[in-house]
Amino acid sequence: MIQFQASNFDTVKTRLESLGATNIHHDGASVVAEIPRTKAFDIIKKIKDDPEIGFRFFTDITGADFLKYSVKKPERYAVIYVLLSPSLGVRLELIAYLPENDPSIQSIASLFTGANWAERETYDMYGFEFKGHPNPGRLLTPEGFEGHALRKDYPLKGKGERSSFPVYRATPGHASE
Amino acid sequence: MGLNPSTDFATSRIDAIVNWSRANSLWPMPFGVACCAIEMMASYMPKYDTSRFGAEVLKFSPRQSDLLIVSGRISLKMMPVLTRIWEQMPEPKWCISMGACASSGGVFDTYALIQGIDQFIPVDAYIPGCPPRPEAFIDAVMMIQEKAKKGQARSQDYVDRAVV
Repeated sequence: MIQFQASNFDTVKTRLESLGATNIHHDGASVVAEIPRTKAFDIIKKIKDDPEIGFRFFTDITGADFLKYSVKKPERYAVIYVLLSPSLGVRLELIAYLPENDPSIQSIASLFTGANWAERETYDMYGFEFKGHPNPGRLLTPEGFEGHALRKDYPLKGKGERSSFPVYRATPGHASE
Repeated sequence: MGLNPSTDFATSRIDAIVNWSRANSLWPMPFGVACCAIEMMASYMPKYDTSRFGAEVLKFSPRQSDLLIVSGRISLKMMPVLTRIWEQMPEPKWCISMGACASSGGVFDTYALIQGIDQFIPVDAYIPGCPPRPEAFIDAVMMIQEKAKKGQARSQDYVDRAVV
C-alpha cells in the first residue's frame, strides 16, 4: 500500500497551482484539485510528463451529476480523473466541471490507453462528449439504448427499455400454424 | 408395459422407453451468471451429486444439451445471448429458472435487468430463493424428470420466432 506523505503534498500543490488548478487540498489519502475543462488535457499531459511529480499511472475516469446535490457546485456535471504518481506515492483526483448545456471535454485517450474504455463508460452513464476519442460510443448498455442511466433525472426503472427492446422471443402457438 | 410370464421378453410403447431414457439422462446447459451458479455447482459436486438423477453431464454447448439452467440475473444486453442459446438447443428441451432474479428480477428492479426470463423463453420449473439451496435445485430437476417421463415440455407450446 502506498503511504501518503504530507511533504509530497506541497510539491504537488506548487506544481498544480502553476498550471492553473484551484482549490487544492488533501484528505489524508489523496490530493484533490479542480481544473478548468478547457485546460484539462494540457494539465494532465504536463503532470504526466513532469520528471519530478510524474503522474504516469492512470487509474480511472468517472463522472458526477450534482443535480439535487446539497452543496452548491459551479456546474451541474463533473468529470473526475484519478491518477497516481508511483515515484511520490500520491493519488490525485482532478475534478473538471462541465456545464449542463454543453457537457464536453477533450479526450485523454491519446495520453493513457486505459482511458479509452473509461471515457466510453463515462459517456454511456453520463452522456459527456469526449472530443477526439478514437471510438466514441456506448460500452455497457445495449445498442439503441436511449438516455444516460446515472444522470439524476433518469428514472431508476428505465423508460420501458427492459420490455420493449428488439429481441428474439418465443411466442405461444404451434409450429404447424 | 406388459410382461409375458411364459417368455423372457417385455412389451412396451416406444414413447415410454424414449421418455424414460430422456428423463434419466438430462444433459444440462448451465447458464450461470451470478451467485445462484455457486449453488448450482454445489449441486453437481459429490455432496449433493445430481449424477444420481442422470443429470451430471454438464455441456457448455447448447447443441448437445436439453436442459437450460438459468441461474442468476439477466441484463438487457445478456438476454439476446440467452435467447440465442435457447434457440440453438434441439427439441425436446426444458428450462429451469433458478432463483429470484431469473424468475422475477429479484431485488434488482432497475433499468438494466430483465424482470423474469419467462417474458422471452418458456420456463418449465421455477426455483424460489436467493440463492436457493441445492435441495431445491434437485427438486426442480426431479420435476423436469416427471415432465420428461410424461413427454411434456413447455417449449412444445411455443414457436421460436425472431423479432428483428
